[in-house]
Amino acid sequence: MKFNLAELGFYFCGGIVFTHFIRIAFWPAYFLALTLLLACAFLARKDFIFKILFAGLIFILGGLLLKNTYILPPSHISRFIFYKNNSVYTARGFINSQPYSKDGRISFMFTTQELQFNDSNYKCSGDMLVQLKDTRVFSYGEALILRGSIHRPFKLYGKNVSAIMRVSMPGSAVKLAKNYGQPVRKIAFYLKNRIEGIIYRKLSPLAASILDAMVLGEKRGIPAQVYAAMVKSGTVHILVVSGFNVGIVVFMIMLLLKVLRFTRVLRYITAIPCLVIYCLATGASPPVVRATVMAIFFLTGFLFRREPDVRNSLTLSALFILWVNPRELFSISFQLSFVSVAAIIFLYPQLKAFFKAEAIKVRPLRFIAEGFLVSLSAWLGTCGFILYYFKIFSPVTVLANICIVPLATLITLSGFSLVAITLIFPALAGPFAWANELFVVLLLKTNNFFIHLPYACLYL
Amino acid sequence: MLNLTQEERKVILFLVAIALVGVGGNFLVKQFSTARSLAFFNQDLAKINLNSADKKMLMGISGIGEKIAGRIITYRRERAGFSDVDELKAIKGITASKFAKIKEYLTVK
Repeated sequence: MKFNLAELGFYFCGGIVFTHFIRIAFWPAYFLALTLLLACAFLARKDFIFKILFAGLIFILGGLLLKNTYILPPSHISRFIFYKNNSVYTARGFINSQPYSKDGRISFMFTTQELQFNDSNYKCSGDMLVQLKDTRVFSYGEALILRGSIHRPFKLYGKNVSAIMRVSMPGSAVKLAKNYGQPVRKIAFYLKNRIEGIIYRKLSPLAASILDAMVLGEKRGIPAQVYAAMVKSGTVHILVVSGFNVGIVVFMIMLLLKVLRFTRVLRYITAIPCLVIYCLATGASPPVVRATVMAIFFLTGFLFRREPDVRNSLTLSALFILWVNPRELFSISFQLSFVSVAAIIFLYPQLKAFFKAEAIKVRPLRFIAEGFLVSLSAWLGTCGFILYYFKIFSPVTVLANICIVPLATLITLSGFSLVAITLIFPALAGPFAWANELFVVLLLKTNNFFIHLPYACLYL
Repeated sequence: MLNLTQEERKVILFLVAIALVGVGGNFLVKQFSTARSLAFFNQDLAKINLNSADKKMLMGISGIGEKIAGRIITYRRERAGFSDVDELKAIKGITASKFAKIKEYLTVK
């Protein structure tokens, strides 16, 4: 009988949600979990009782993991920030993300190691967002000493940022001759820089910003009006790296390795680390991690000649993300990503059977009908969440997605081709760049057409 | 409904047990450690020692380029080290305004 991981995931998420809304003490819950664990071990042969006890155990484990993230160690950076505090802080640590530069301002996540303020020094831990005015080039892993003000963030910055340091005085950042970066992430960021360089060199700024979002998940360059127009038509999901991109990466790696005459097993084994590097390069956001874990699950399944189960792989990727950070369950990105895929997995077959899509004999028509039903299932799955978070209802979404998703697919494919061609034969990249420009213009025009239809979107 | 074989049950229970030990241990460390025990005294966190810093480290300070860093290293070698930060004023290229800007990042040990 097949092992159903989805049920485990359900209990685990239930525990996280319960702990989020209801205050529970850690230690009583912990001892209850230990009791359940012992009971499960002793009653492992009693089927019915084991299932109930085990469900309870997984439920409490989810809650305990979330509760554990609420407690910060005394040395955490956020413990050193005080209300109405004008002290000048000096922090030593290293850059823990790829620095982003715009208009002479550089921002990055900074892992703190030591902190100095009010003539005292403390050992420090935790990450903070640094906003720095500097003309120099900074890179991932670089050890720095920074001097500036630290304050708590507004809600705008999200829940993962617990402190923000502003370094505005010239010469307040000292580079130390050390690098704490992880080699895999260094490779990932190096590749990201190379690819971004190609995209921005070959394309106009608007087309480059859209391609940057689709290929590398970097949305910061997209003009606000373009982003708002995509939100209105419900097609903003194309501006992130998703399972489709991961699929393209797998396909390209497999093709390349096949040309190089690698064996089937070696191709699968090589593809997995390449996917991890791509995931890190794109910022390891929930949709990418989901797609990467699912792809690795599938590749491993092929490797061991086991039939991969899409529901189990989806749950496994959710459990993976939540194990690392249970708070992700409450992030919009996580919810939309998993709900849309779950809706396609569970709802699409039902809709297909209900509307008898299989009965359509003309193949192109059947293809369009199936595309419509996929889009409809994703929309039905996510519309409640979109309504709740964005207060927007877009009836045009299903229709817009049918036209825009194929275009986005084309842009992603031509974008990857542009990067690959530029790396191998830079002289031949021209036509690919022109094609990309054309597709982006088509995408924006199509999107504009849909949002200007009557009752295309309603604000609540 | 959670159709697990006996072997799968044992493996999953073992993993859950390890996870519980890990979560409990981590919670204990976070809850019962104190900032005071972690604090230590080191006045020169933000300062670079002129007598031990290499060229690259000196160049990390805004205002010190490759040439000046090279001159500092040469000066240090010739005089067998610095006895005071003020000695930097004697190096070509370090003006009074530049010295005022960089001195807070430097120390002599």
